[in-house]
Amino acid sequence: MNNMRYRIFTLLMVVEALALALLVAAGHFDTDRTAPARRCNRQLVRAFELTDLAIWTGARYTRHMSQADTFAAFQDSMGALEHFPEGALAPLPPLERPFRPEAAAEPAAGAAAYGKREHEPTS
Amino acid sequence: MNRHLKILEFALSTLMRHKIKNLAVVLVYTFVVFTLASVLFFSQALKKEATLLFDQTPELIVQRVTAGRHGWIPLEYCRAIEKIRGVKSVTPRFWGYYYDPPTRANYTFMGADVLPSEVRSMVRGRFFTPAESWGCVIGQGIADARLLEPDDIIPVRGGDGRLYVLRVKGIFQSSSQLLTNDLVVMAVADWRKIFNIPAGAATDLVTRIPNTREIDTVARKIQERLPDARPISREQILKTYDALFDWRSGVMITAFAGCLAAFAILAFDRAAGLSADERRTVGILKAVGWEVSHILELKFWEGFCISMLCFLTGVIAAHVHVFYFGGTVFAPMLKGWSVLFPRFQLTPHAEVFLIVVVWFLSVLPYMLATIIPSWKTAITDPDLVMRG
Repeated sequence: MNNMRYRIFTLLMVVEALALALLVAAGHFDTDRTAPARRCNRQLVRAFELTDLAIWTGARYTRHMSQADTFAAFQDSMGALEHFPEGALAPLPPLERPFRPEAAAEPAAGAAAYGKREHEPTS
Repeated sequence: MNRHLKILEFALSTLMRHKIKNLAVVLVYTFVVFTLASVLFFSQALKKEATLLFDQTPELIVQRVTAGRHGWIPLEYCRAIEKIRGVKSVTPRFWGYYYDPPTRANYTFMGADVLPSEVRSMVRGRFFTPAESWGCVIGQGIADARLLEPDDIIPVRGGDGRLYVLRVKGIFQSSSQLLTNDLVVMAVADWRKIFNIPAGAATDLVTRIPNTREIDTVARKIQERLPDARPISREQILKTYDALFDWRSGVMITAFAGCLAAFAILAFDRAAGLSADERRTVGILKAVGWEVSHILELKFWEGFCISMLCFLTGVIAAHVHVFYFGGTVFAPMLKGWSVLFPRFQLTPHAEVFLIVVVWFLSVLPYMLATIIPSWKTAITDPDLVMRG
């Protein structure tokens, strides 16, 4: 019996590995099975122009995370203690990148060049 | 081959000699793997779901900011935005929040007159027609909270203090709960009456831009022409959800930090050196003729048996927990104070990759922590080792 330990252990490992493989495969088929429901949800997003998941309905800045004011999460009043657990679990808002594509920098560069020319000594 | 099996058999016998100690290690180790895998599976599944859904969201939403807060946007802004080159269309959105005292829940009221035909199949009952005043379609969460069925009524107190009665024409299918759980869709005119909103105002404007490379340019031009406007691009919406679930998974792991710390101490304890008993065993094995490679193989098998058993058990338990029980352990943390919480079925995404990540984070450090001190002892003289 004592020499059987490695066989029992190997059998246990094989059973567990097979179980995990089956679960992963089942999950893969589940993803395919839920595809029609997801397609419907995508149509809903498009039809109603939705922007957020309806998970946290406790406050407006947790219901519409992406539409919240830029100084979320303390929105109910300045300096108020956050009282919604989901608000406390929200990350700091990402630094809002101003919509300034590279082309917008050109006038500034032009102005700098103009300024430099203005201060150049005249010969 | 026979030699390897004999060493494996010996390793298992060694582990069985210290049953209680190794059982404690297995329990803590399995729980650590379970927690780590659950958090990774859960956050990845939700993040992927949000990404798959919101790639259909409008390219640009334009809000109006008044005194630092989101205010009603005048419909004249539509014309100013439509004139910008690259903009295909600008349509107003009408939505707002309503606190329902009987259920103590917040609902999202949305005004919509034009309803695409493909959406009608997603409703139990039917949609209201533009001619039907005070008809509405509600989310499954509201129907459950107020025990509503099609043709029931919802009394709503309006912004003017009057009581309005909405009649439920249909209920969104439960498969769309992730999006529609707290939604009440009604005609725009009814929405205006309830919230007392003037005719020329909307909540925000949806700007459709066919060429996605022009989104930033259009947003800049909107800000230049309408200084109080705040454009929110689709990219920003997707980034918000990306950051949100990364952050949440970090917070969840922090909540289980005590357990992780216990495991780290255990691993450190093993890495710091073998116990006197273990050192004596190594010394005896060397004295009876075992080579360094045999001792290393023995320690490898010991570490492998424990870590693979815990890894496989923990990952299987995490998969069942997240994808079959909806992440019950995390539910209180995830729900917060939401009264209406959607029931949703998560599906795995990139699971094999996540399993490999968990393996690298849990099995590899433990194996190294087992083998390195054994190697240090195995290369020492057996007499010295046994004398301590």
